[in-house]
Amino acid sequence: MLGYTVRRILTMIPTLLAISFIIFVIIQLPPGDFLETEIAEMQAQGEAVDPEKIEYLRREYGLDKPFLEQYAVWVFGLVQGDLGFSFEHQLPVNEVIGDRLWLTFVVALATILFTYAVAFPIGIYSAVRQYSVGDYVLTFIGFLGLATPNFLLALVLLYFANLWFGTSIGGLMDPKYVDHPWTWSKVSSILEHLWIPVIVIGTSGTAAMIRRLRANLLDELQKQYVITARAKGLSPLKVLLKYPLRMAINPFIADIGNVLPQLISGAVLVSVVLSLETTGPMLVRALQSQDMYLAGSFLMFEASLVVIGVFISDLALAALDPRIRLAGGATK
Amino acid sequence: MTRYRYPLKSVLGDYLRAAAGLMIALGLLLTGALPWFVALLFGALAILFGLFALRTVKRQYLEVSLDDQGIATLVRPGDPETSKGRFPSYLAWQELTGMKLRYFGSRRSHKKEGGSGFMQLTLTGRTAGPAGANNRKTTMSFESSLEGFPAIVRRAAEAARKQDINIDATTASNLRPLGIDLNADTPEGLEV
Repeated sequence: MLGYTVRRILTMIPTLLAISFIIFVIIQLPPGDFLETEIAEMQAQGEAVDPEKIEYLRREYGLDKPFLEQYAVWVFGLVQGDLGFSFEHQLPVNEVIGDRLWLTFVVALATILFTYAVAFPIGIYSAVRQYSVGDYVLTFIGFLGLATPNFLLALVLLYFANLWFGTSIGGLMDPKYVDHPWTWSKVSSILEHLWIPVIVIGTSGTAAMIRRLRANLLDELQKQYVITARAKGLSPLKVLLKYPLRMAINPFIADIGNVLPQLISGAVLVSVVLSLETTGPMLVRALQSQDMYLAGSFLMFEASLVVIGVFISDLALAALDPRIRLAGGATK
Repeated sequence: MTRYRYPLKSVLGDYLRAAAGLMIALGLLLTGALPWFVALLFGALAILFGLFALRTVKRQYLEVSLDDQGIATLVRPGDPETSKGRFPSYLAWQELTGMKLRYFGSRRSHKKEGGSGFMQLTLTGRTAGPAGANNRKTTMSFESSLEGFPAIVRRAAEAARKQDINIDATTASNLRPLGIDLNADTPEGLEV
């Protein structure tokens, strides 16, 4: 496993480098840059533009340097935790993002845990008790979750959370804690607000996962090795957990790489509705204004999540089911 | 008795991997400009690649001896004729208690014939018979880049069959591409 882990980590490094280069190229693709957009806006408003000042700003922001030099400076900064300078906010990206990356990560992680914690027991129950009353009820709830638009559910939950628990509308914390240092009361305020976005974002994913797990497990439960295990007298729980469940969850583990970024980028609409201080709305604004280092940092964050997610799922799959699917897979 | 070693080509590949990983991790750590959590991450990576380098050194000098009684390993640096060797280990076939054959590869190599994955054989058992003076538990692990790996797997599978050891489904499935079917009356490739 050590050799496999080392090999996988070494493939992550060129992958991340290639992604960072592609992101930088794409951000630079639109004609002009942030300064030219600014000049156009100033001229449209009838303001005078001092060419010397523009040249000074171009030098100051490093926009006069060759493309590859700009890229190299950005990448070395990224590795050292320096995400660059946000032109629009006139602040280092680290300060602009502030707690947003962490809050986004907390929301995403809580949503994943919620999704798995709810979907797995229900999916297993639905498969084992197929066509029972419980299966029908849970299937109905699952379809309801799939069919309800997230933003609508967000509005409904916001209303009832305010009505019943007095939770303030919108945001991931009470307004008085925004831009304040971290304290226990700030953490408890976040926990008080966190359940709404977690339920809203997690509901559709949970419903989809219940359906897939049920279908996968039903397939496995009908295979001959399960009948053999039952015939040998193994307890029903052991028969279920030993092989069918492990086989049924393989696709979910393989999917971790896609789940992480989807939770973050797919939650933009919900973040706007709930006024969450997450990365989604800020990324949209940064892309619109060609704030290249801010947008690039967000995109790099998402890409890193994909690569890390795939790495985690590969390690989990290697530990769970290290089999050759086709003959002749091993060459070394 | 047949002796096997890891070929220089595979060991060199691992040395290059270890060197690349250590260069990146230590190089960034030595800049001294990393925030603590990034430094922690690269510190962990440096330790991981360091361990991998040590394992590769051990593997370069590892000598595996196979015969009808058991399998022995010895780390023998220097001249194989004169060097005594270190870390000797022995597993008697009749004392074999477990066998696992795992396959590790990328998603592509799982699906594509002739992919870039590798196999790992793990044997557990005791060094000698119950009356033996040095009768202790031992675990051995070999990767498919080892010369004679298929022969070792066949011999281990034969011993597992004779000892009536429970083989898990993953191992049984991975044995098939090597022409070994534990469920067959006369498994292909096994001398029964």
